[in-house]
Amino acid sequence: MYAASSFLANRSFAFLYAVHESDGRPLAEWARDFGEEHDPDRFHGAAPVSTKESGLTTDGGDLTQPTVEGTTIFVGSTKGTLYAIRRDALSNTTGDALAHPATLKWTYTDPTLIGQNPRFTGPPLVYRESSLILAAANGDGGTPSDPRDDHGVLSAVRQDIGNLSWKRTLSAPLAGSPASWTADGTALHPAVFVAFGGPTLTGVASLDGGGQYLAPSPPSWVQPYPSGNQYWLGLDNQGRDIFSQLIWGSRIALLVGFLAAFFTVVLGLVVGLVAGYAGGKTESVLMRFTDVILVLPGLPLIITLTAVLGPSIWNVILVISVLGWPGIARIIRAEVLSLKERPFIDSARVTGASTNRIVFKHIAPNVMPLAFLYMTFSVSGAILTEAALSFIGLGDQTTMSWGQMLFFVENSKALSSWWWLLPPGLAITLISLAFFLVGRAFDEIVNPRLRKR
Amino acid sequence: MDPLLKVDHLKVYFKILKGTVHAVDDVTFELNKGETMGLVGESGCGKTTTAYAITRLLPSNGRVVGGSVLFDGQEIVRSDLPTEVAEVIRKPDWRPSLMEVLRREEAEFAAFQKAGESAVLEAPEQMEDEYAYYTEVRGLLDRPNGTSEGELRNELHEITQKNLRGFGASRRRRRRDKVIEERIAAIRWSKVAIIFQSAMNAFNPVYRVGDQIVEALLTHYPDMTKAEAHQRVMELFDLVGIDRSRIDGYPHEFSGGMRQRSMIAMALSCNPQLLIDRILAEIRSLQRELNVAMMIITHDISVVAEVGEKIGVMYAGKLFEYGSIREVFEKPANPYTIGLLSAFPSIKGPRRRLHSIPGSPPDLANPPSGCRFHPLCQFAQEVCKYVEPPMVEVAPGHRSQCHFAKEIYEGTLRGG
Repeated sequence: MYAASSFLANRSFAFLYAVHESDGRPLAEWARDFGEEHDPDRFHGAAPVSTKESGLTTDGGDLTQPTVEGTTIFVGSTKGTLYAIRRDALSNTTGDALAHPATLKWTYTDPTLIGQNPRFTGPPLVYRESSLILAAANGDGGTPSDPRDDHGVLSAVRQDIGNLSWKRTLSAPLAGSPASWTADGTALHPAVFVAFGGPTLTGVASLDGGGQYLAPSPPSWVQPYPSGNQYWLGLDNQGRDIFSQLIWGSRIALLVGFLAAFFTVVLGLVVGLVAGYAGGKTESVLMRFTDVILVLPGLPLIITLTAVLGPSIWNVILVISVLGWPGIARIIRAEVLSLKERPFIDSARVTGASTNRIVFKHIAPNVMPLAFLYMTFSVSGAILTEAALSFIGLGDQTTMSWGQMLFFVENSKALSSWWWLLPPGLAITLISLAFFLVGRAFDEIVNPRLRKR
Repeated sequence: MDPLLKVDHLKVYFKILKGTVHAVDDVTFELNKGETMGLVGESGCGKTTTAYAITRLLPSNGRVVGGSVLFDGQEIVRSDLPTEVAEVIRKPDWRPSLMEVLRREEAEFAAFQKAGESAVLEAPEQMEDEYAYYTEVRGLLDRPNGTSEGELRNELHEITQKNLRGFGASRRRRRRDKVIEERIAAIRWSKVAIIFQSAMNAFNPVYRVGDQIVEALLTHYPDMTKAEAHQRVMELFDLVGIDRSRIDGYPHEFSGGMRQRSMIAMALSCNPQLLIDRILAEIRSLQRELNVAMMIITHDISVVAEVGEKIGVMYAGKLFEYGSIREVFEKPANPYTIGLLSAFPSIKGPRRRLHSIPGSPPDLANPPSGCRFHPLCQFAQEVCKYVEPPMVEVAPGHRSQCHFAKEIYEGTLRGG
């Protein structure tokens, strides 16, 4: 265990301790002899960060709790320096020591905070997905006496060389250490949260790996305070922020909407193109199969399939795509039937284009506008289906979606609580409407007869 | 000298729900190198079908059921024997036509034997298969003891259907079509180019005009680099009078005339020997320059008068009259040609009333008996209603399909 730091009274040394987690014995490799000047017992097991051999002079601030990642220890100081310190001794192949433990790898100071009493507040967060160190620091805004202009800075620093990747300045000082949260660990960017608080403002800021704002909190965080005007849409019956849930839900809505619509259209496009151009038996077989899928009762089958496959976002997308393509295939086929009689297809054939080339190079680009049109319509359809599935409890319970929110409303017998019911309901309505309107506008471009004179 | 294009008793039928459309029936004509021929007739009389049959672009329900087309000595279109026989034995007096078909087939086999694979587009297996069928038919016909005509016909029908629909027949046909499609692709466009009537829409709207011509060039000359093809397109644009800078334009940015001219450029891109043209436009002067044979398909007989050397007049799927322009215009030998000629004004001659041919061409799914023109013909006699007129050669190279061709040619027949 690598543990807390301490300082000498004269502030010219900083120490890191390394002790065994089990019994607190010091780690032999780390322990140094500090000679007569210092009481060896007092610094038993500690390594000085600031010595000649480590090549560093400290800034004189107190060290925060260290964070260990791999062979590096990250630690900030209350005077504005972030240190990356070597954990292990470094030796070459012949065994000659090149560097002792606890020697410096790099330091980072925020140039904009110089002269503003910068201070790192807590142990830095290792943000593995993009090899960044997230550290919260505060500055006094130039007036040490007035707490109102104090502000916080969340910096993301490259783990290997200590360069700034991004930073976000918040209008209130930060407290403690940033935290990160991810829906299922792999699918999407994890979110980063950092608490801030000042005389006028308190809250939690959330950002994604790129430093962008997202929802104020993770969707399933139970809020520490019962209410207050920091929760825009209030809390649900478990004390979770509805506004955050709404924002997190939009991710799922768009993901399911776009992906399901995309796969639907790709399937429909291929079947329609092949059936329309090949004709004969191929067409009969493909179109009868299409008809079979088309007449299957959609929602019951989707419910059954999701129940069988298991509740996951990807299964929902799969099921929606697999059952949604027949309509598009029919439309594309009809268009191909008309296109393949057009003179330019004849001239392509005469000039020696192969069948594959005619289908995918000459016909496909001409049905693309139609495909995109139905893709926009499919987006709203897919979002609605996903919401319906989540509402009846077949959605992915580990991710927050709008349908899931409705499910919670219904499950809590709270259908009369309009402030809880309306946000997800309106969001679903609005996004479907939005895509439908986009589709209609698209339709007018693709289909000039619909254009107003 | 062998003619460049020889269309020999070509028959193209379409299968539709109502039955069979006899779109092209027994059409015969020739075209020499560098010559221009006009094929005229009303809409729906089989001009376009003839052109499509020559280039093997018939829609899937259209089949060549008789005759052949030779291009530069190679048989590029032929009906397979069983199909031809199946068609022939349907008629009441089938025996002479069958013998005629078999005779022609023998000639084909002979040519195939002599010149080998290059004489036809078909794969050798197909020819062997047909020869086996041919010997079967021959054996049946040469049977010494007198089988009755009806029985013979039934037996012929049986072996023909067995060949056409029997086990593996459709697979065989597919394989055959594939071979032919591969071989015709090498000839089409590089030797025989066709300009469609709707040349305005013959370019894919989503690609640049220049790129589409480049694509056609690269398909036929795989060794050509893109830059060379581009250069060639520039030259072609110069030739047809389009500014080189328009090479990157899309079809919708071109005027109708420019689109037609780009189509001509595309048709000329591979230096074809024969150009089948449905739009005419500026092409005539180019034709002289490039020495390309041309088949002009139009319903405007005056256009042909101006540019052609030969003319073929089609009506209801039949080639009614065929000969040199001069001959046909001065001494027409067919009532339909006379009707067509009097329906167009003359610039030089005296002013006269224009006559139109009353009525419209017959339904080709159910053509009139005898001469197909008899319901509208001013000279029609009783014989025309029942007997199909023969092809009469009224003068060397001038043929007319009419019972009274000679009389009309000599001007001794007066209409009643």
